[in-house]
Amino acid sequence: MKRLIPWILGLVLVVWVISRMLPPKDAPGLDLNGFAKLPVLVGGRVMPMDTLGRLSLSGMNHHGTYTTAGRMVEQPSQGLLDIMMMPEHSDTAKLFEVSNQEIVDLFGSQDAKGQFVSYSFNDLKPYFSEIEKQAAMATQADSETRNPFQRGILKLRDSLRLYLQLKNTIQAEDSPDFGKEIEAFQMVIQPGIKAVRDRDAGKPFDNQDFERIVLFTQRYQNLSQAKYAFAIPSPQVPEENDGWRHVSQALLSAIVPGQVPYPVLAYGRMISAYRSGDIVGFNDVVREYGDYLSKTIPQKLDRPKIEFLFNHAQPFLQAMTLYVIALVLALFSWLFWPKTLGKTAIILLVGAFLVHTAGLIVRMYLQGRPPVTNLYSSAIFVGWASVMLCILMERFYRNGIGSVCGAVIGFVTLLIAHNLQLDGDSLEMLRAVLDTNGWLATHVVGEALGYSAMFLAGLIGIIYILRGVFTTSFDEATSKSLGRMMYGVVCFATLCSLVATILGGIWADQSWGRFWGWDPKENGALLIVLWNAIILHARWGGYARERGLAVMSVFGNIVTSLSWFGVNMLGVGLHSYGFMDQAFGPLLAFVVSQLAIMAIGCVPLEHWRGIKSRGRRKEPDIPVLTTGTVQP
Amino acid sequence: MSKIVQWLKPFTSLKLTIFCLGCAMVLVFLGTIDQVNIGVYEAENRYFKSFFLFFTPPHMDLRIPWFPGGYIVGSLLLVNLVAAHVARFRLSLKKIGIVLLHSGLILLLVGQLFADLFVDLESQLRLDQGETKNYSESFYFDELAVIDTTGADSDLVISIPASRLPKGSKIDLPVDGLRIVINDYYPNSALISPSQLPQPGYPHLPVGPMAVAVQLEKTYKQNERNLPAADFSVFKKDELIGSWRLAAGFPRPINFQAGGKKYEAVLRPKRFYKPFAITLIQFRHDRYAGTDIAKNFSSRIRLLDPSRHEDRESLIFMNNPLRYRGFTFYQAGFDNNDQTTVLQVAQNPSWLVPYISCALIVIGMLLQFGMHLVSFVKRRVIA
Amino acid sequence: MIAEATRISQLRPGYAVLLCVPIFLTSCRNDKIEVYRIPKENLSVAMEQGNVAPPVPEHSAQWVKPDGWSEQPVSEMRLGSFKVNGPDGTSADISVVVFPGEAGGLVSNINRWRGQLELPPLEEKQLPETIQQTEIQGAPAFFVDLRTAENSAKPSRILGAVLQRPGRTWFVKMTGSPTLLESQRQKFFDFVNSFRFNDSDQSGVPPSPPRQKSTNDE
Repeated sequence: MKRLIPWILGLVLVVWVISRMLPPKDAPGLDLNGFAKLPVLVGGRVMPMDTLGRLSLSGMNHHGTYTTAGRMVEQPSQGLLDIMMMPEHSDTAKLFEVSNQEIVDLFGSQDAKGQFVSYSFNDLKPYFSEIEKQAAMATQADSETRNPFQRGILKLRDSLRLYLQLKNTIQAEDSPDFGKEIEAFQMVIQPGIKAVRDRDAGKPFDNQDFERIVLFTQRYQNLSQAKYAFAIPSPQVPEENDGWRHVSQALLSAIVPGQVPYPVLAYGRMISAYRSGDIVGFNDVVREYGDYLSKTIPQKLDRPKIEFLFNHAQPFLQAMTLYVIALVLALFSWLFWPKTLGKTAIILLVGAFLVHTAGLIVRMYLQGRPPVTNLYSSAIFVGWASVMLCILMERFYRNGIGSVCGAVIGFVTLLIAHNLQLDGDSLEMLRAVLDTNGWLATHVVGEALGYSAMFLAGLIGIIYILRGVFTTSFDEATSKSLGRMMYGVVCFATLCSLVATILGGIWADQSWGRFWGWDPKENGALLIVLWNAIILHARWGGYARERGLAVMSVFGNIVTSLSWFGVNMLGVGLHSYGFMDQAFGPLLAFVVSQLAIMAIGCVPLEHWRGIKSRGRRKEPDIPVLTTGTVQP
Repeated sequence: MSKIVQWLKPFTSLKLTIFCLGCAMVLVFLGTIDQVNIGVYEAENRYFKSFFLFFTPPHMDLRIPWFPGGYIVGSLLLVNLVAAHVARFRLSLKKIGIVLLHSGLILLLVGQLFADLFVDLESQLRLDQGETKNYSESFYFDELAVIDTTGADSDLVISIPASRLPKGSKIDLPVDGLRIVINDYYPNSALISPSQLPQPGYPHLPVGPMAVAVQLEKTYKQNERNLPAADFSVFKKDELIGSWRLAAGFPRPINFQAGGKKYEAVLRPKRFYKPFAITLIQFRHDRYAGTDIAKNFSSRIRLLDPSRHEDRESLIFMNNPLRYRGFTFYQAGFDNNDQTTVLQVAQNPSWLVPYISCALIVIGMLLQFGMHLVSFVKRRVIA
Repeated sequence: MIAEATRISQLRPGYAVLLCVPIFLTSCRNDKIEVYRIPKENLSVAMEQGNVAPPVPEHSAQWVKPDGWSEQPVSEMRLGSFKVNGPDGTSADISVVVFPGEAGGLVSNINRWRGQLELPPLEEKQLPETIQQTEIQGAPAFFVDLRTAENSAKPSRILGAVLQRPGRTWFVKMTGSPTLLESQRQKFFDFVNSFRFNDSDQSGVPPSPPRQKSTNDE
């Protein structure tokens, strides 16, 4: 029975987590999920409305949620519905967040106190010209040298622009009833065309018809200035934007055939129903439109549907939960119930790894690319690869080190990824120079594997130092196996980073005309290779033994994190793909923490608690971690 | 044999290896940070293509070396690697992995050193749609070209590198007894209309009917080019032929005659003439639907080489260059609202070397670490 | 194998020779004057055609290009050139040109445009009824809307703007079919009204040289 507890506990937790990822049940009332699944072209790719809502709202304020009329709106699709269909309502919602005190000062006296202050569109309306003026001045400065005020004001200006564009995605925002408006437009087209033709030919024409069609045409031409999200599919015109149009373009193109396209009418009816509170009517139109799409563009619907489910499932958040639980259990397994807790921990770790893998695979399917395409996906992959290495390590050594390392790295990398995601569409299209799956799969993945291994070696080094200096559970067998783990992982890291760096050079030769250009990212990769080489040569020369190896591996953490994130902050060179200044503080803190641990590691060995206690202990009351088996 | 080993001993030290690797890390780190200030090209020259790092104490004109530069560190590493192998490694099967790995590295380093010789020959080929050119232009170097146009079917180009043009230089041309004296020189300049001068006496060079050149600070930004301007006089046998002002930003040539020959002179980016010509048929900048994000850049070009009977079309796009007669043409940039393509032209006879080195290194590493892994697993299974 | 500790100071002077290898390789810094022959190039003519930047860099005005207008190559005469397509394959052409001084005066230029549409010239006193005067950035601007005669075989229309600035005059002209221009009328006005001039800037700070774009840019 005792043997089964880990399995039962583990499976219960894993199943619980998986249940949170299941597709959302259709709630009674407004068919929000139906709307959320509708496809729209944004940024060059087709996504569900759900993603558009999430991206836009999290761009405007950092949670992606906001309050309106005292109520908290949590579902991004609900927020998007309001913006698209009831703009006068969303104008009063506190959508826009500002944390920079100088920006807050622009809008009247209020003390931000380092918190986020939320504003509604109406709140900011009186200050639009000021915001535009400040933003115009901020763009004059080079992007590398802008101060927080300039960056904040540009972000606010862009959020406001995005908001305006969203309001005009499927309707003209100032229309009291867009559904009726486009029906009126439809009726005006035929007589209007006739009037224009007559006028051109010099014949007498109906002035009223003429004026009407000119008015509508000008109105929709103005509307096309707000193009951002293209919601109207036009399968008959695949060459234009891959077959997607903005509502203004669809309306203008209706003039010649004299018929407004069905999707525009459908959205118009949705708007009318939503505004008048007609839930049944709204749900009916959504269903009808969905059927229309399945008949006309079935091949374009698969990815948005899966992306909707993926957004809801949030596999990486679930994996994070499991990693944390696994970590706690693994740490406790070093203190008591080693077999039970240890086994549960590894089961949870594997469960988390499977969820993590599933998320990775779905992302690859949605993007049609190898797993690492931008900074966000590199974090996901580095975590995944490290956890896999840790599971293998745990399989060989069975001493809980692998579980602890895997859980820590899994959790931390997913946390970093979560914060990187707030910077835009994580499934974004790749710019031209990256449009090559071969090199993405070899060079980029290889570099990421190198990072994984370096962090893993560093983490083992940290465990070595902390356990050796501060605890008594540090007998010779443990320290030896830790040493061997570090050595093996460093070898693996060297292999990956050296090969990946050279592959990167070959890619650069084919793309930019030179094998090595001393670009910051290239230099970062070179630093990792050099440091690995120093570690290995120092060990072979006997200049560094176990403790030296541990300290050097911890330094490897610093080199790797600077190479991964630091070079992006320099803003120079061909590799500056993601500029994140908010990460500078945490990065600095991390570097300092690693230096501190290295300093602790340099304390003379005779003062290490773990080593001092070796001579004294005869009967270990803590499990002796020998290779192969765990003995109580 | 042992005499050679004796001689090489000091260079085989593992401590030397670690010392050099450590110095390399310091160089790479400092060079990367400094790039923010001085740009990639300048950082490359100061940190990696130099013997020492220098620092200049304030108010003094001295350059004091304080750290070995890329060349010293690189050469020491190379010597260390070769010496260690010659002196210590006996060719045994066990060591074959490391031997292959190090050989690959040696090959890579030597190949890169060789390729570096050709880096100053890197140039750009800028073509408008429909334009044909048989030359490419340097992005960093300029020339004062004095061209003898007397001949009926060929011109003689005398190219004076801009580095020879500081104020006060006297340059004797190798032909025709001409001498050029530089009265004034701006390494970087901009052209403005005379009415835009801040005050009447502001230093400038009148260049054209409606343009003057004013001096600017040298730029180190990646996509910006320095445009020099010069005021010079031409002498033949101490007789003044004329004085003119030229600016690279406005490359209209001046004409003069001397000794019965006709000449043109122009200040322009240094040209590298090729025995063949390239025409841009069309440049494409494909974007993702509804966005400005670039999906692909491609240039359809026509290659014309009468001496080799080549007249064919080719498509150059991202990650797919054209290799012809030792030159490689890459899609590097574009301009003029997608009407102009900018191709990077590189000469790298040793371009295959990194591929071979990579193969050697990968095989070597797999063998070396593979053997370790196998023995490790064996021991675990036994235990 | 543990390496023997060797002090760098034990290196014999002869080894310095090895360090000089790279010096050979770097001595090839190109400072030399090169002389070579090329097939005949008509340099002066080549310079005058097109792809050389005009002596006055980056026209001293900014504008906001209306949506739907596509940019066309500019030349020394035309500082701005656009095209907009209409239904039935029609298109309209928009040009921005600047001349020093008064460039002949308002009357003669409007009559020049009238002549292009085969309309009779007007006298100065007849002008005010056909033009609409306004102000852009503190200086006078005149708008005209000219159409070919009613019975013309090829109906055409010109929307024109004359902007009188200190020292120079700007001409913005849109030519095309009457209906297309009708739909573009507001855009034309917005376009001209968006002009912002730098001619008042005497700070003498020269504009930075034009940056070409790299395929590696964000």
